[in-house]
Amino acid sequence: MLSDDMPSTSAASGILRSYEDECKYIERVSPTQFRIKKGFVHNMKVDGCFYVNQHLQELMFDELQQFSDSRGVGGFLPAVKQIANVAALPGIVGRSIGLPDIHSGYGFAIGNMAAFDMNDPEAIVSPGGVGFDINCGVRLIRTNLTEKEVGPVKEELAQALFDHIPVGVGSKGVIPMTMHNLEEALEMGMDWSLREGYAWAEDKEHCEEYGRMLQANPAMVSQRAKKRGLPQLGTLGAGNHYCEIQVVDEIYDAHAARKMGIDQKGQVCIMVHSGSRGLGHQVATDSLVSMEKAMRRDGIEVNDRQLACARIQSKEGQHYLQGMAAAANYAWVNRSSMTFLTRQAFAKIFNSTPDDLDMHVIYDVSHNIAKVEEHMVDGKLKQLE
Amino acid sequence: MRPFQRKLQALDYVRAPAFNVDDEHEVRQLIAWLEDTRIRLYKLEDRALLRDVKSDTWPAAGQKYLDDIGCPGETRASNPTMVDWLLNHAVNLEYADQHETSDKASAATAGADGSSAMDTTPDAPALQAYHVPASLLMDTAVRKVLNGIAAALQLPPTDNPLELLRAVSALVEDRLSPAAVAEAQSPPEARAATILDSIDLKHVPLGFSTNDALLDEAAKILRLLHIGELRKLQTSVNELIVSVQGLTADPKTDSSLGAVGK
Repeated sequence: MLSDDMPSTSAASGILRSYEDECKYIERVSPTQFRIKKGFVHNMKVDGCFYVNQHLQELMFDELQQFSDSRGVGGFLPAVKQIANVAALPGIVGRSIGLPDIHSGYGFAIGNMAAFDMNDPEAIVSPGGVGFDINCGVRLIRTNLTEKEVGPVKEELAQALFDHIPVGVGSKGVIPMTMHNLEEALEMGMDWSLREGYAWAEDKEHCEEYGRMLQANPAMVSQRAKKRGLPQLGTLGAGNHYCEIQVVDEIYDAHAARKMGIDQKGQVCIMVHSGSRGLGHQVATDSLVSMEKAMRRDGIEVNDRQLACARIQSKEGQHYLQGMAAAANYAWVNRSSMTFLTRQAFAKIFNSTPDDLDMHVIYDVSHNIAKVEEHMVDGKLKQLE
Repeated sequence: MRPFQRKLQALDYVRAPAFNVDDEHEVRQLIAWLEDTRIRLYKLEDRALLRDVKSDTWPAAGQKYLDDIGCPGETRASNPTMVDWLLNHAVNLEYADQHETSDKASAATAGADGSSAMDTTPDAPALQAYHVPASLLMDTAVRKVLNGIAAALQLPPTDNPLELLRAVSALVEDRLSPAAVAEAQSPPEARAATILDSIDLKHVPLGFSTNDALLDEAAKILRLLHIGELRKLQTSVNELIVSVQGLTADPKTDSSLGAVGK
């Protein structure tokens, strides 16, 4: 599970210690890696760790100092505490890891990654670990245009993009959808976009899971979620979401760049950052409600109320995973639809075709998603989530 | 060069330089000669009518001959196509004949000197692709030269001359063709693209180690070949998807549905 969500406040948890005492639990492993030892918060099953540069390191420890000084009252729960709280979740394997975009989030820290053993009956799945914008992700599309060619038509191009891709809270998309279409899209992900002609065959290759999670079950997505998602397909949303026209500034690895179709400085690309809109948010909210009940029933203890979760194999856990997969499919269809609309906007302004403009997807990376993968853990092959 | 000259020369036709396909008499003479010395479809005594090129009965005999030899109707429509077909037929027969002889000869040589080269006798169909008679590769002088070329090209030595020939020809086509040479002589900026395309195996991650450098390298090569195959498969899958899209795709937009939010 990997999280990148907007932060929110949280009640303090764990033991109150002085900043100096807290720091005894954090050990430097390398110039860029720290280890959080067991005991830093209650019940830690495994160690935590995080990767930072000098700048981020200062922020991390400042956060912790403020938390200690205020004796845990008010403000954010610092990211180090959140990483440790995740390390206390049942069924966690290896370590709770903070990636270099680490900062305080909802239950899980942003950039907090954890794996749970699918075959451990106690192991849990937490919607906070995935985040509220399920399968939020970033997609990069290239063009064969240069800054020089785009410069003179910047305004028209931006306007064309705004016309094609509505933005903001409550925006509605220009792709006609029926409830039946939506059900199919939730089940099929980018295969739906392909069938309907909104995507290119090659696009799928550049997406995680080939743009479709097979365990998706539209029946596990509430009517309310579907109603929210129906008119929003092909819209960006708000917050930190964007559709940007970007220019290649520097090429660090010429070989890799060329394989991705990037061959010159000044080349114009388009980056889309968006997710599953209201539909994914509703799926997460719905599951939090059902999971709180399941936690009481199964006696699951967590350090932070925001870490609401359910056992993977429980009805609630499976319900969530299937609904989350459907929401993930929606996000891929959404990004594919915006890719289609972007291609149209560029084709219109440059009086060409998307093919001739070489508008291929370079990558589509999800940063709010839970996936089942097989890995070697302590020399044994384990199915992890 | 006049038409058919190369094929006529290949067949050692003495009148080749004077051959004119529009001259009925010369065409008749050529056909009679081809049958007599190269094709030999009929028995000797049955060739009389065909040899009598000045007779009025020749056209009928000629038609019968073309029927018997199986010359397709459409190629008979004009002299040039008919003559071309006959020449090709004769060249093929001649090649097959010579091939058989040389194969026997090479088998005889190998048998005679009793060398260990028996197990490396090049296979005939593969050699045909290079237009090389098998006996040539068995010739020690030729093999010496071939080994020299391979060494100059820094190819690893091998006992199989055919394999070596393949490697040499692949390398020559790839790196020493006029286009490749021009590319290599162009300024470095312009040829950056090609250099980047060659991968240093050292930089290919394997993900595991067998503790045997050679085996690891072989595994890397197998993996790259496998990736290449997967890529081909994916490309044909994509082609299939695109053809199906031709039936199912109907993307629509309706700008009246759009609404900008807050």
